[in-house]
Amino acid sequence: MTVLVACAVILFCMALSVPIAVSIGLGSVYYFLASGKPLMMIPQKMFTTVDNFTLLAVPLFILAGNIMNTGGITKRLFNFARTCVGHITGGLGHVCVLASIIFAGMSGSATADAVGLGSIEIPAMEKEGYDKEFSSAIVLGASTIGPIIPPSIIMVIYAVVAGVSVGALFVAGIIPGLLMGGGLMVGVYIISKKRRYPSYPRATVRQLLAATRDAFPVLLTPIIIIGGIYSGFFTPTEAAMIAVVYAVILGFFYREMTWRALWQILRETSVTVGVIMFIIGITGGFAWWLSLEKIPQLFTTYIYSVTQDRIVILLLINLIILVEGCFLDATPIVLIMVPILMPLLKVLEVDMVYFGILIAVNTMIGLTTPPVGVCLYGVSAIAKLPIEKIVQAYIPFLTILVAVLLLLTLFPQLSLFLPNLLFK
Amino acid sequence: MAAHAREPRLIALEKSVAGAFFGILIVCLILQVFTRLLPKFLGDWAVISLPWTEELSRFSFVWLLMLGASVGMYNQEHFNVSFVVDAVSPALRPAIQFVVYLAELLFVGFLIVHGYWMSEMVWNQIAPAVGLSYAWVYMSVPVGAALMAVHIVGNMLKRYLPSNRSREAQP
Repeated sequence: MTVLVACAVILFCMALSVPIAVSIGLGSVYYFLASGKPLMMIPQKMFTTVDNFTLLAVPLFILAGNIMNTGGITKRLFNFARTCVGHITGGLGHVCVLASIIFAGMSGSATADAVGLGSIEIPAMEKEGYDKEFSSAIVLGASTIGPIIPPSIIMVIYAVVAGVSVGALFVAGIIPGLLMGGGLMVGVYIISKKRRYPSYPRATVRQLLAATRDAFPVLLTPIIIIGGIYSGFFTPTEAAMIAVVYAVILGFFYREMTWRALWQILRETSVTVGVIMFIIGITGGFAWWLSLEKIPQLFTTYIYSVTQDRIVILLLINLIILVEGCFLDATPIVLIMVPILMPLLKVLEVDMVYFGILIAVNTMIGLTTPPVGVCLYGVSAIAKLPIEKIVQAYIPFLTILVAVLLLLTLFPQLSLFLPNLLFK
Repeated sequence: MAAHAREPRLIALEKSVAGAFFGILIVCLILQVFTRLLPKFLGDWAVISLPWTEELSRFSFVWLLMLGASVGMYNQEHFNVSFVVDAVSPALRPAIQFVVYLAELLFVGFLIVHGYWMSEMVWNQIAPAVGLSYAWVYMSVPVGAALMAVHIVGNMLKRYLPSNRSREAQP
């Protein structure tokens, strides 16, 4: 009964648009009061949840993404991608996807991808005669790749909640990320053929070499990060720190970063970090009392009595998360859903690394879907287009991404092949 | 990412202190990696132990997060669900927003009280390397929460007292 009232408090507050962290906090306060447990456990659980070395990677990856966008790194990536794939039909569309794939290897945030690359790509595409809706839609679609190809902020958060290795998750994301990119490129090609979008003349070998030389230090970043973690040289947190330091060095090297700008980035990023960590801390206490009351087990028994088919359950979970993604940000979904789903997944013998990829891809799609999606808002602000217009043009790409999610659900090997090869 | 045109002084101060803690955190982590990797390359004579970096990085992280979360409260950046409220009639929204502010104040008030008691309890536990009481870490919760309360009340005044509307810039 106490639990039901506590959950009702949480849902009621959330419906009133009280911040999710505060809603869950109030529900927890009610639960502790009503069940006579010491209230001090709430701030204490908040602490023990946040006081985690792996979790330190989150602020660092957010910071690295913000530094890269200021430091002229995004611009060089775009030029490099243009000389590589600009000559294919729908040239700049493919450039967006390729640039996102490479950017994904350095940054772990979809928003940094959408805003950083989008503010270069959308004006460039407009100049070449692409319509703005199409440009915004492809930038939006490509931004979902950012947190799938390692590094990834959402995967670090998932790894901490689910207790799996960040390294294995990161490696598992490579093939799914490339699949998403490939799928989007096919979509761009088909649409561009139909609408006769232009392409650049094929770059000469000399141009390709020049662009590669200019972008070479940038292209080295994914190798340092992934190679460092995989070889056991760095922990993910240390790799995140290396990414920050390297991004700062590149920014100064390209003469696009100043100490003053860096200080402003630090100040602004600490707000983003505070908001994310605050809710992580509060859901730590929430997950604790949920498990104390055996809610996840109850949920498991219930689902299990309805169906025992692994694929049906996984598809159902995917559907639920997709719907949640329309209204919620990725971080709260992972924080709330993973503790509830874990026992069920254990019973079904679902690999937690594989599930991590599913939930990451799914919640990243959620960032692009209306009515609530930070990437969608970001792109709409850059393109100065109303959300409905972008959404209309985005439907083909959304369909492709959901199809890839379906593939990933049906074939766990797509996610597990690389980590099994490298870590076992 | 764009800075607000005119930031109130308290917000600017909180962001600067949070940014400084962020800087300390990064320097500590750099030192940690450096001292860990140095012996790998140079052999055992290069072993340096800096135990305070580990403690200091945790101290800074907690303070950074509470101050950042406080500014987030001012900017109303915390994740929330808005589609239900968007669906109700606009006439009701100021009243709903008032309840939201009250709910925030209630929880923040709880954090101030219990966060303070928690810090009092650990007053005698000293972090060995930096020699500071753990209360200095735990104090981030009541201090951050108190700042949040200030911002929530400020936002309420701005919204519900018409005389202030012209003077204060919208967040």
